[in-house]
Amino acid sequence: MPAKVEVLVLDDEALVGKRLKVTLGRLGCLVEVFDDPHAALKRIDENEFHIVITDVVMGDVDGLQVLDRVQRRWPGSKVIIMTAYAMMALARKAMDKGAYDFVAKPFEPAEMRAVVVRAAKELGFSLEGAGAVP
Amino acid sequence: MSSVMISSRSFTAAGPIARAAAERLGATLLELDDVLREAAAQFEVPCDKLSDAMKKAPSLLGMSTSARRHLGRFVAAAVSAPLLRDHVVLHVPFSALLVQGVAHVLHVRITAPDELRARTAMRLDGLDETAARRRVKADDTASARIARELFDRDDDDDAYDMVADADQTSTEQVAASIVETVSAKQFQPMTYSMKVMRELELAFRLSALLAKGGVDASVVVAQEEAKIRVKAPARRAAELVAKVEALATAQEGIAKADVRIVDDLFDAIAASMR
Repeated sequence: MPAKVEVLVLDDEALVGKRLKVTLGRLGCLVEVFDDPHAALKRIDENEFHIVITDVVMGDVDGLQVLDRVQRRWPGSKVIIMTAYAMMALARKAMDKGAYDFVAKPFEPAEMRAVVVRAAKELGFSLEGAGAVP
Repeated sequence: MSSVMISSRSFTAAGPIARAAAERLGATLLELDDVLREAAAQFEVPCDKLSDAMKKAPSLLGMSTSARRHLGRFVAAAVSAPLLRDHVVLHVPFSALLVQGVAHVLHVRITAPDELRARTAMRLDGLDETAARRRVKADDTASARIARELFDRDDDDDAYDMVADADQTSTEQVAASIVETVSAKQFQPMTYSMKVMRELELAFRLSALLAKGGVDASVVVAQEEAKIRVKAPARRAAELVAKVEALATAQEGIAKADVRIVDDLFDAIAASMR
């Protein structure tokens, strides 16, 4: 069976994760959703996700810490930062730290879909909606 | 994709730096005159008037603040459009005030000591030392006053991402430094910053179109909605709101327009930025 793109979505607002699971599931991605950053970090330590999509402001863990953890553990993974508090300084900081992209909320599903398709392509996957083929 | 905007004081030899940076990046170089010609052609406004708005010092019998701001809208629209394309270096005044908040655009200020600028003015314009020093000071005063008239702000060095002293380093070294900086990840386009740039260009373009139609308005575009504040007498309100709404929603990328008539346009602009 061809490998699928594995995506972890982390947002303390459960609805965001649910919606992204549907959107990215339609692309053929295997999506795991977390609203607890500590549980997500534990899962990241256990499993290499191709793409991690994370919110920034989440209580005692922020998205840039998640970015750091993913980069240390799985340097080949792409981390997409999403936030309702999009500001130039934060965006530059996230990109400087190695984020693949920075997306402001609210966003249309098509926006995030386009970012994930592009990220997957750079990882050698082609997302055509019916599964990923490396 | 690289987007660099370079501003400078007079007689700082920023032109060669901008050319060198554009060449190293394989980017299109646009000078102020290119932008003014484009604005003049697109909006059918005399080029010399646009030039005066950007360069001529405010004076008692000269251009009024409202006229300068009116013309400034056409320049802003012409400056922002190329930034949606790949690889561009724009050498224009007040760049950090013209295009704000777009994370991937690198704003560079070229400076030089007044002594060096005066010597350059003597060489280029055939001035004696006293006249050259006076000229440099007058240019700085004019520039500061134009910035305040157009943007209600000072064009300070700290608004820029990078300040390069043309006296301390060679043209090629400054150009290399610009290329190295803009190649860093934090200056690569991201979904967020491209969206901000598109919305800014749309706002500037709509503001210029309204100005062409005789409507003085501040425009902010976000999430396909245009917030438009129009300075107009109350008696024209209903007619104007309908006209402005129609023009706004005819633009691709604007689905909805919130149009309000205000007495004080600058108060409205300040409120929209809070």
